[in-house]
Amino acid sequence: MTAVLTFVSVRFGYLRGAPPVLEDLSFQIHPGEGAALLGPNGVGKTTVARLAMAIRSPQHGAVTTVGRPTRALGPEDLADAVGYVFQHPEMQMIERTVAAELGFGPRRMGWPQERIDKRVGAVLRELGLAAVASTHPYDLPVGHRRLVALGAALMVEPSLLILDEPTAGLDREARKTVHRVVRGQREEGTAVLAVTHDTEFAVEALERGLVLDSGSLVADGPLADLLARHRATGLSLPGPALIAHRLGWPTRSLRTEDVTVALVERCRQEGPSIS
Amino acid sequence: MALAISMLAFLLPGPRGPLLLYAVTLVAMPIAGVGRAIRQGLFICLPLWFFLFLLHGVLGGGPTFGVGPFALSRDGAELALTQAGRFGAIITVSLGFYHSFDASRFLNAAAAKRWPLHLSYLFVATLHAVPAFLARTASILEAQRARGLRFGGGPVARARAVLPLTLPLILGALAEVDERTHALDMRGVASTRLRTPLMAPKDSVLDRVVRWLLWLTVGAAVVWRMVG
Amino acid sequence: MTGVELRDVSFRYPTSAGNVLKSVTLQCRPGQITWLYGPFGAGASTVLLLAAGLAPRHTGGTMTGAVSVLGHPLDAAGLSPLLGQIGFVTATPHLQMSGIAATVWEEVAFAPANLGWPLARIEQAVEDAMTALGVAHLAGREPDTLSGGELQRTVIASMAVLEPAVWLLDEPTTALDAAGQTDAYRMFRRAARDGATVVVASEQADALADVVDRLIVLRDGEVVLDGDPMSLLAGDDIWEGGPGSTSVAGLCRDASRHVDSPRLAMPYPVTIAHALERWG
Repeated sequence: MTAVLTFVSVRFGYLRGAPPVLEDLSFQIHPGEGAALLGPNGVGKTTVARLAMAIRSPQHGAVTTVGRPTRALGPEDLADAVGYVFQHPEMQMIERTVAAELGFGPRRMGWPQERIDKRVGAVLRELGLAAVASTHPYDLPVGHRRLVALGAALMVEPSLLILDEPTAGLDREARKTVHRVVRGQREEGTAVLAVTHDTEFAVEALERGLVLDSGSLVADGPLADLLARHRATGLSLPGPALIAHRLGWPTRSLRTEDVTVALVERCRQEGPSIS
Repeated sequence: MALAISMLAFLLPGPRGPLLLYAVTLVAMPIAGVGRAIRQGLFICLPLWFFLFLLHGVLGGGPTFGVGPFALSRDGAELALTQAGRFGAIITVSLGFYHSFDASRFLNAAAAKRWPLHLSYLFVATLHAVPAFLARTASILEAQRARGLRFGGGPVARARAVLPLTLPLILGALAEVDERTHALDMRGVASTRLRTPLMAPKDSVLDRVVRWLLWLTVGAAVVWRMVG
Repeated sequence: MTGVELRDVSFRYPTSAGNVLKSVTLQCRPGQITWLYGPFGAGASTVLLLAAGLAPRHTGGTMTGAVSVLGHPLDAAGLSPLLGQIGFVTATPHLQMSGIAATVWEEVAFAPANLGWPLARIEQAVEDAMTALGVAHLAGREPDTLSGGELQRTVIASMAVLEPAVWLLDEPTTALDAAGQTDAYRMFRRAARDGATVVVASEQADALADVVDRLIVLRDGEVVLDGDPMSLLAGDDIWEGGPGSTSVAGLCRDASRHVDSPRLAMPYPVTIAHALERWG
């Protein structure tokens, strides 16, 4: 299976003369994979996302996104196959209705209006926002605006979704929608790279963890393993997952849904007695 | 310095006066570390100069002299040169001021001189509004490029791509003003107390000498005009 | 009464259809961290704006009832007697930057400088605040180059430097990693211990459950629950027409719908520690 995103020995720094932010970074992401890019504040996670989207180019090494080397490209050259959601996208809405906002990209790419309308309808339904198609984006609460930004990234049916802190500051409902949508995308074969410090999101929607520290990857593997090694990564599992892990419950995954199933099972097994 | 030169530009008899002044600014800008003011100044001035010469050269009366197939008025040319020198000097030095402006140093200096805080903040914030707006524009443009917005082909194409974004940009910026004001208020911007200068403003001897010289020159020019 | 007090306060913004707050009476005591909990639109952020004296003075709108902070009633007089004693942090850190500081150090020093503090005092306070929030190593950086989390820490530090007697916080840690969140709440706890009144509006139940002393739940502009955090979070009321409790409590509650077991009975476990104890 060809990789959707490849970093090979990437070195990158913003300022000449200052130590590079990223040093010898290498990894690959394949279709259907969901990778959480984890690490402390300021370590360079957003930088990785921007390199992947050809917003910047590495000083050494190579980044190849959806099979295209990014060196000579800009983000507009990847927009037909990659959906990118920035941090605080609620600040970047520029159209007067949600439907128009979603249609912005496809219009730039020359889609016929019919196709745009159809896709807008489908995306809004998936996000549960069909009711606000004609609403002005700035009239929506921040959480819904975030979902609109996510929807905009989904319009092109991307092979790769790059998300930068998609759940920061969202309420429970909006977070659950993001989890559901990301999982759904992965099931359809979309690869997902998400910069996040929200381990709940990582556990619910992704399955691989890339841990960044001091400019390179210090860990790359299944999320459950990484997060369980709390001391090593400085990260911790969300509540239900941690409980299941500590108490050694057999679960299908560390998602809250599966932990609930495991808890119910244990209670059933115990029967009516309080052991 | 910007003020002094602007005033001198009008006081000095031309055309030699303003032209000399312009030459002075050409020298002074790189020294102050804002050489790009010259380049940007030229960008603005060249069309202006061309127009000036056209206007005065062609329409001015009096004796003419030949430039190729054209007959240009001598007086007109002199006038044009004077104006050109003035514009050049003022525009270049203003740009120099803009580029060399350091908000925090200004605030510190103002505080040391005991200016009321909200006045100096107003001044600074007005100037700062430009880069802040530009930064916001840059990030919105980036987001739209990631959605397929293209603008190859120079400043005209770029302007056309940005045009539909201007209204939302401005509205967005205005919408943010409220929240920004809240935070600033809570951090004492409206305070009537004197602001503490965070560092001693660097007012070197050279700076002071230059400043005194400039004002003396202005004073002398005023006197000269009145007398001569 | 000191601390933050709202008595029978109703408030509407110039553009709101109805009252955003409806006859709200609540009290946030000094020496405690009070948590205002409610979904978007419930009014928690508005309470903070009122307590800061920013509403209705800046925001417009009409208010009835009385707001008092540290014993000072707020009315047309507004803010001035309390300037420098209130630490106000909003959910959007980049809108809180002064925009004119060349370095993080200057950004943190901005407020005390405006208030005319002597330089020596400023220097000490800035160092303490930056250390408490883990940004001392960023002192020389340009604020524009900070990451989201570094920015949020800097914003908190730039208020902490004033050692305010009242903290009004609106989702103050959304961009922070686990370490940053711990640092921030450790600082708020210390402030409360030293007598400050700390009020935080947030929906992050998991993070706040064992950090706060008092929980006030708001819904549609009204106070629906007010009391001890642990007992409220362990009950059902907070779920029925409320914003819900922690993920651990939610786990237990969801499981209890599928099977009847004393292990899953109320009061639900609220924190991981509770759960490990009950089910381990």
